[in-house]
Amino acid sequence: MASGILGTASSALLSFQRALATTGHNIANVNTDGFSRQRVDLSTQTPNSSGAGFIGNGVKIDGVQRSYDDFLERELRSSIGARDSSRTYAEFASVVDNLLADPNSGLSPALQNFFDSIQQVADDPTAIPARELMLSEAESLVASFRHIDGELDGLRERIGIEFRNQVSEINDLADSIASLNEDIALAFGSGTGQPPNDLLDQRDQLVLKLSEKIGVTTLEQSDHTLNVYIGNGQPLVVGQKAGSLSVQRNSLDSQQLDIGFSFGGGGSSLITDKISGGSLGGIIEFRKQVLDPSQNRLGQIAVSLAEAFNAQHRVGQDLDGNPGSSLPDFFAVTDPNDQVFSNLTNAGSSSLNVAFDTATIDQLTADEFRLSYNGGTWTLENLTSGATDTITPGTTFTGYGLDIDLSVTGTAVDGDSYLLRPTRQGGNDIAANITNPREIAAAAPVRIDAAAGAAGIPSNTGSGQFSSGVVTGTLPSLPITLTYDDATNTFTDGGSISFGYDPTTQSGATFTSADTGISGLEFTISGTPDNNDQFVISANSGGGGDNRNALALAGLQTDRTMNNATASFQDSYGQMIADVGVKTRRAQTLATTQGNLANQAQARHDAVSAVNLDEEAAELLRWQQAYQAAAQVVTISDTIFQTLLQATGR
Amino acid sequence: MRISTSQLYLQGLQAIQDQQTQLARVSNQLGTGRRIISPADDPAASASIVGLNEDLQRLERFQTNADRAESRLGLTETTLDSGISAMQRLRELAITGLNGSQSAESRADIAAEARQLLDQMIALGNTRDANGEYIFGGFQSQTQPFTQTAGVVSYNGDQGQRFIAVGENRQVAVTDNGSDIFMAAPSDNTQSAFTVIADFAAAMENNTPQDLDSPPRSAHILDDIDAVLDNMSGARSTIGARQRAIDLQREQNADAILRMEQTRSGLQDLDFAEAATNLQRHTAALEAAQLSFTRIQGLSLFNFLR
Repeated sequence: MASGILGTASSALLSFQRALATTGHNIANVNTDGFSRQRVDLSTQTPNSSGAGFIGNGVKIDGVQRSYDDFLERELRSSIGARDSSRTYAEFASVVDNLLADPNSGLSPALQNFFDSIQQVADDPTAIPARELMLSEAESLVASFRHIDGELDGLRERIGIEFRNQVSEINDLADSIASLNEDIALAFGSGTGQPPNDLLDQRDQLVLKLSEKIGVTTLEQSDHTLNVYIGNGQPLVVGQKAGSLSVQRNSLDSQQLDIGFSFGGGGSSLITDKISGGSLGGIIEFRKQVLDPSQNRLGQIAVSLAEAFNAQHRVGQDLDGNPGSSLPDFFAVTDPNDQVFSNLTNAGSSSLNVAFDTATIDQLTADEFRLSYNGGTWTLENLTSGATDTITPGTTFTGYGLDIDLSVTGTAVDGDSYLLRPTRQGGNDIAANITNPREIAAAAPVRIDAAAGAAGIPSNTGSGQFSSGVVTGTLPSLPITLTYDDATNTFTDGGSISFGYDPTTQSGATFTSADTGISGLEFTISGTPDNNDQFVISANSGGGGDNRNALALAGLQTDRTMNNATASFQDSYGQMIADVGVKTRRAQTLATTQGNLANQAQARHDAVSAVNLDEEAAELLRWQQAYQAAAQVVTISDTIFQTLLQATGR
Repeated sequence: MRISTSQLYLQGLQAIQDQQTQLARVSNQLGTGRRIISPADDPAASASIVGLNEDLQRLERFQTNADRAESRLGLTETTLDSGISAMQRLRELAITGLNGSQSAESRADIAAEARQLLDQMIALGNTRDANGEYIFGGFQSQTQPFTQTAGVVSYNGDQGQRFIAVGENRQVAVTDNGSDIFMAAPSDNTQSAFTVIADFAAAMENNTPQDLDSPPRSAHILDDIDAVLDNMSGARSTIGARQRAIDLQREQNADAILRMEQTRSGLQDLDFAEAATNLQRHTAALEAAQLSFTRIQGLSLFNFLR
């Protein structure tokens, strides 16, 4: 009987000691990330049967359980993954956001100053200082394009570094999870069937860390190992084996880094587009939604500006009387062929030539394209809008402000494809070609004067007047003398040119080359010419004081030369700022929201799993008191035994 | 709900950090005086501000252009005034010289003055601006427009006219060509302002005032002088009209600038009263968060276990 009491007491002492140890363990791990508080499960020992009934036999430990809720753990993982994804996205996007709107280095002030300087040339076309200023503002504008493009390239480089860092961390985590899987399976299998709580906590913590980097889904197996999947089901960890991620160059564009995945020595496949969630997912999304479009749009503005400016500059005339067409282009433009990427798997020998189409440059987009060959035709797919065009081999496609010439040598094989990013390098490659201020074509190469006789005295007697003319293309050989016949109301040069002008209805009207048959020239006629009054269209020799082309160049600032003639350069840049701003703001808002959701998930998770020191203090008191009581039982049992000894010893 | 010790700690810390973030933002706003620190703060407004900045700078340029246009027109106007004075003097000389009481000697004196007027008129035609450009040369502003060879004054320029942009879609002519002003005046298209003066001087030198009648001239010399005067006065009033147009445009530009600056200010400027209130609010909230953090962290059951 006494031994029964002693046994009961010692079972209690032992159990309470364990319980105190567990409480101590909880206190020790109050600041351990991912630790789930543990509790000891107690139950009564099998009672002894006696005639008087079952006599209690003390207490025993059933096991040590961690306070853990699988649902809350998953919720925490996914919300932390979403938080880190949007947080990383927002962090990168706000760099672009601030870059574009910078009041000093942004494109906007450089554009303004450049066009302002053209106005100054228009004010004083013969003044060399004004021309010098315009050239230096052109340099500043180019520098501004390059600066922004360089910063964007810098971000691309940073993404590369981030890719490498994240991939190596993800691989480490995957390895650790796989090896913990092994330990856990072993621990469960070691006979007792009790859960290795601390190992499970460690594994959950590693998976949580992993989901900060990349979105994961998990599946626990019957042997208690945990399978971890990424992307759309790529197995990163299966049982005790881990797959691995790698950073690879894109097979089309070697400048672009991608994420590859391989498992168990198998071949590597690209999964960049499949990854979502976590900071890696955020970076990939940022690159796709903000960085690539921004760089393309910057290039689009650079190309549009350069092409429109060059076209106008070509129809002008410099201070020395040279036609703009004989001068270097004002701006150098990127070669879109540099951004045509042939797929590594192309089996055919086809080649193509891409050029910007100056006449339709307002249709230029910031889009990227895939050109693929199948069943005897080429298909041009706009990767932004999804629109497709079919092109017959050997022809030239004109659209999107591009000429895609497929008549170059070689033939394609089904499945061949190319990636086209026409404007990607536009911001980097724009350059100012003109260095001699006299070569700015501020004048127009033609003027129209009323005929004059001896000593320059006007010989016309009527009130007819021609404007000085606007050059729209290639001019015919000059001079051309137009003589008016008031019987037929026509001007004629005595040769092939003859067009009507009715002073009563057409005074002040504009005559285009289609109206007059004089190529590349447009002018207005007003007043009433007398019979045989003459007007001379001549080369504008010595016309340094002419600012017509400078005015036209300055006018490009507000001309809607972009996005299908709906936007000026500045409009387009403003849209770009707004677009990046909206995306950044959305990401920031999302990051805040997801941060709050993650905090709430953490709170719910911790409510179940984390340690509360006050609670543990109470537990300490509880087990201490119980332990003291059990010790008292030992004392009582001893007293009983001593009493018995004394009684029998008498 | 059960609260864990670490959660209590993190929550307190989070509250402090949140308030600090808000404070940093408000102080940044107060420091820059701008409501929008980065475009993400208000993307639509940011795009508008970019557009407004561009428009404002262009309008300021138009105002500068208007000043330059006025000064150019002013120079032309002064020159024309001198030309008109010269022609008026010529008219007085003509009335005197045509008087039958004049002797050959007195007509020679008149001729001498008329020759000087001719030189003056040529000099006026060759007026240059501050940049050294001939204002009456048309596009050929760097070539001397009027030259005199063997007594004949020729115009070497063209009929080009320079315009300056003084407003959106508004360009004003700032030059007038010498042909229109000096060469095209009299009715007979073999005559110019210069030939009128020269013919008069010659008749005075030769003491043959009858040469100035019509016939033999296609018009009487006084009619030709009046035609030149009318032409110059006409040109001057055109310039006056342009100057008034520029003034009007300048006022419109100034209105537009004011309007746009107000719009821009509304978009980007900080409401200081509101920001100061926010500063106060977040400071108080930060202090409260700090206080509650230290209070809560001081609470522990272990304090009572001795």
